[in-house]
Amino acid sequence: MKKLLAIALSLCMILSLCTVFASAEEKVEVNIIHYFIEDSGETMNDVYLELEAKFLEEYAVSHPNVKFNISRIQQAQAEEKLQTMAASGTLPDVFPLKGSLVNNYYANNLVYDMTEFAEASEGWDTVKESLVGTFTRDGKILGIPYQFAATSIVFYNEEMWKEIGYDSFPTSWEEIQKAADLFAEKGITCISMGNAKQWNFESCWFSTFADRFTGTEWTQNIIAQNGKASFTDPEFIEALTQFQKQIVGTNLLNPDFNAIANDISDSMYLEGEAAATVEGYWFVGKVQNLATEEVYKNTKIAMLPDFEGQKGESLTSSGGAGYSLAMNSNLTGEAARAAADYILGIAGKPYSDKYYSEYGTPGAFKYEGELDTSKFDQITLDYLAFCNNTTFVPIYDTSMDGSIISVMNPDIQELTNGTITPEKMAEDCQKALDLLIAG
Amino acid sequence: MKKNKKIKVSHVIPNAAMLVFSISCIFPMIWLFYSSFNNMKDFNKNPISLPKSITLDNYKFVFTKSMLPGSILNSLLVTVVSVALTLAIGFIIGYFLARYNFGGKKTLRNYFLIGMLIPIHALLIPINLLMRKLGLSDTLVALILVYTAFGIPLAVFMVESYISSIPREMEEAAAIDGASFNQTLYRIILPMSVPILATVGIIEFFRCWNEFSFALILINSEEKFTVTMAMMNFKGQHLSNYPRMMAGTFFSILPVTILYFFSSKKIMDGMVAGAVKG
Amino acid sequence: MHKKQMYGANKAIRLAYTLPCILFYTALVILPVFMAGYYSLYKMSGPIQKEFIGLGNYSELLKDDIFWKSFNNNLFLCVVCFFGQITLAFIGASLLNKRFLRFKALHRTIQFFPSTISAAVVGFVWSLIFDYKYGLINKLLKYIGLSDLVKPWLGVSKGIMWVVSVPLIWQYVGYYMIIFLAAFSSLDRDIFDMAEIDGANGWTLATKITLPLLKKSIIVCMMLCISGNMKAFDHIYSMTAGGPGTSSMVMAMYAYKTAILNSRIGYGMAMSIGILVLSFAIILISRALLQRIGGKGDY
Repeated sequence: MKKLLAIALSLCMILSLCTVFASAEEKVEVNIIHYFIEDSGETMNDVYLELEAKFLEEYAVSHPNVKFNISRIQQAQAEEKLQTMAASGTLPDVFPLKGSLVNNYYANNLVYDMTEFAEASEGWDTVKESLVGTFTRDGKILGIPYQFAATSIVFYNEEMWKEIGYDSFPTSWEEIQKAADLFAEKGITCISMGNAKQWNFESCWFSTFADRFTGTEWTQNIIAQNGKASFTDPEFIEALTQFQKQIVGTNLLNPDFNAIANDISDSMYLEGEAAATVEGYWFVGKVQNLATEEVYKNTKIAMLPDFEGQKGESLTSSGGAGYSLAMNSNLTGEAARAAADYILGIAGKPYSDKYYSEYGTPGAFKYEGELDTSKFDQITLDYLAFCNNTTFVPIYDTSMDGSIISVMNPDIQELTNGTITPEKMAEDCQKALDLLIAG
Repeated sequence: MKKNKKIKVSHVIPNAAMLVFSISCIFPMIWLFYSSFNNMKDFNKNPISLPKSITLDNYKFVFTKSMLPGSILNSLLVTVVSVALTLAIGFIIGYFLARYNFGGKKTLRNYFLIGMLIPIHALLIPINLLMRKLGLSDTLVALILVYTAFGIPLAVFMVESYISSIPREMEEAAAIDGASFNQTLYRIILPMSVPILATVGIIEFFRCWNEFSFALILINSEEKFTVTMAMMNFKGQHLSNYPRMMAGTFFSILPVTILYFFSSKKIMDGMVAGAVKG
Repeated sequence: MHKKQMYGANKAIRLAYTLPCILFYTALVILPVFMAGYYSLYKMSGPIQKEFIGLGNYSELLKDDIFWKSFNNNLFLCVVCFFGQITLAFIGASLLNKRFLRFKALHRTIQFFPSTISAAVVGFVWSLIFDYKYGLINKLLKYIGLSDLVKPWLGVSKGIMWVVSVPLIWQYVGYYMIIFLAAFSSLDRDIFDMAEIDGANGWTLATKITLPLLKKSIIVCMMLCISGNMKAFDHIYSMTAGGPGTSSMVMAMYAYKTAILNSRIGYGMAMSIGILVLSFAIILISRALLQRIGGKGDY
């Protein structure tokens, strides 16, 4: 015990000596935690890391006294770690910030007001207003969005659908169900789905599906928590009822859709065992890198069909701001400057431009100049067309408060298993919303 | 005594049951092993199957590109120190609880029980704050302190129940022979407690080695990552390279497992030989 | 005649040894528990948004359906694991002391092995065993002709707790077995030999002789089992994340989700304190039960 104290004491002394030295040279340290990990096989990470490496190299020359301590942690765990740090007020200097957390972080004064830095940065005038809007409160820009996330895209294997008589993905739900029955006779899964982690249905299907019934104004009201919209409104319950109807007792999905995670269900499609899947923009890269030749050649993009008499706009899809990079509110002086430079120099316009020009994936900034599409493959072009021609509606789990989502996601599992009624689920969600509104 | 050479049916069943169970215990290791030579695509198609083609890419990645090798040293440091401290503290408290009666004995026991009953996740925020106040955020020392503290209850209870079944005659005889308290404790009781200390030691070793939550919260810098944290980054948000994770898992389990299999023989033999005899 | 002073330590030595340990434990465990209790009296979403609401969180907790459903799940785990882990471990340890059992050392060593693997890996392995398409269970069912029993085991709410218990039991049988073995080794072998000579068979031996002598170890194991299962988190998180829906939700996971993922920190802390209190209650009840069954003792 004594020995330990002695060691700890001497460590402290050494550390304090070091800080004395450090301050003599005005060293600035910026602590960063993010989730762009190396060699993950995912394009979004690789693009970021490339830019980061370049930025660090250049910055080390222009600002030799600044040191960036970067820790990369896988996304799910990073989010949990950051939440714990936020709760105890020990956030790092730079961190990713999810849209659904902005209210909370702002109320607890955890985030730096980056407005000045942002507006002074190069190319800021090309930022997409709605995406920044997600991270702005009271006119203060609290985070720089680095992605435009389209989460609800139907990827289907044209060849497989042709074989049962469909030239393209059906435009009505009745037709899809008919096709699903035909596929089932052949022993093929119509649409593969993996909802074990509970967010997939809600993010990739339901945000779009429900909005068709409720209309976007309803969704915005829910997000704003202004009491003008309730989950118990008939349109939402209708959405739940129809969602349940399409899935329970039908051949639409693989039977274990609530038991497997989306990487397994993705594989089903990529290996040609399923005729379609509904995923987000990240799936484009997967098709390019992991699909069989056959699947890669034949993959096309489509949308979830409309419903008759739906209140919402036709053929909308969920997409928008997902995550941003933000700064700790307790930063000052040079450290604040360096942190802002990091964020804007990597995750801002550079990330958006690079992702768009090299991979055809739109980001948070409008691209200036001509896009050279000659080197893009068919699926990239299809995705680009999809982004340009679609009206996007909010993604539930990046805009609605986390406490609502944490009730909605498990309930969707039960809804799709047929073990809960739409009314009960609506009640549960409304209870969570009421708690928020109450304060 | 003549050994009964006939094979009794009532003996076959227990033997068979044990065998089946043992095979099931070792199977994950075997599966991890051969899957680590598989590639991601084939694995996702059929996770149980033997690899169609052997690839060393996963291990190449583990050794050259991942944080795993370095993290093993961190884990080793934290685990060894924590276990040593836990055993020391557990031995002392366990001994005194076993041998002495005093007023607050039951309360003291329940005091240590609290540490075993409180869900760890509840304490993530308070301990994070505590370490920040102590100036120990992002240090391995913080982990050592936490792991030791939470290992104490188990050690205390196991040592206590073990020592209470050691007859008191031991200490009395030593006292009659003129031994001081310390001498009795270290020269007689401690050696006799080796089986239970070894047992607790092994349990604690793996608990610390596999611990994740505190490591995630208390450590920020990559160079201080423990094994469990280094393993995290093998998974992506939308992409999980399971064979690679298995190579990493196998690699991180292997040295520890070899140590275990090597030392457990000796420990178990000691236990079964009935080291405690008058 | 035992005189404490004859071989014992005087008060000074006792304190010198135990006090530092107790202080250490207090600083690192008890203090954070008090901090958690402190937070539980607040409505808190972060370091600044704090509002004192006294026992408000606790009164909400009493009415929280999901919490009590989770409590039921935890109790289920305790009971199932008591029979699964401890009873099987006891039988196993007894068998390992028998002459007719072969490969003793091998079994001892290997069966402890699963408890050395992290819960996340165990959860992963078993989620593959339960897999709908490739899992061993379904393959076996199809093989023996029970194909209509085939289902996505982890995706069905009914019976999910049974499914989730299996890996827990599997992982820890060897663990408890080792504890029992260590305890066995402290027993006097002569008693067993004499009993066997007197013609006692395995069952009598186990119940009339071994059990009473091992009461303390059984109680330790029981405490471990209860505390472990009331805190259960990692396995279930990696297999079902509490799903489908909330059918396999356990208290520790619910508290974690509430505090960390929903930023309802005060409420989550109240839940954790609730878990502590409930666990204590269960242990006290079980101890009392065991006392009734096993006869007197200072436990």
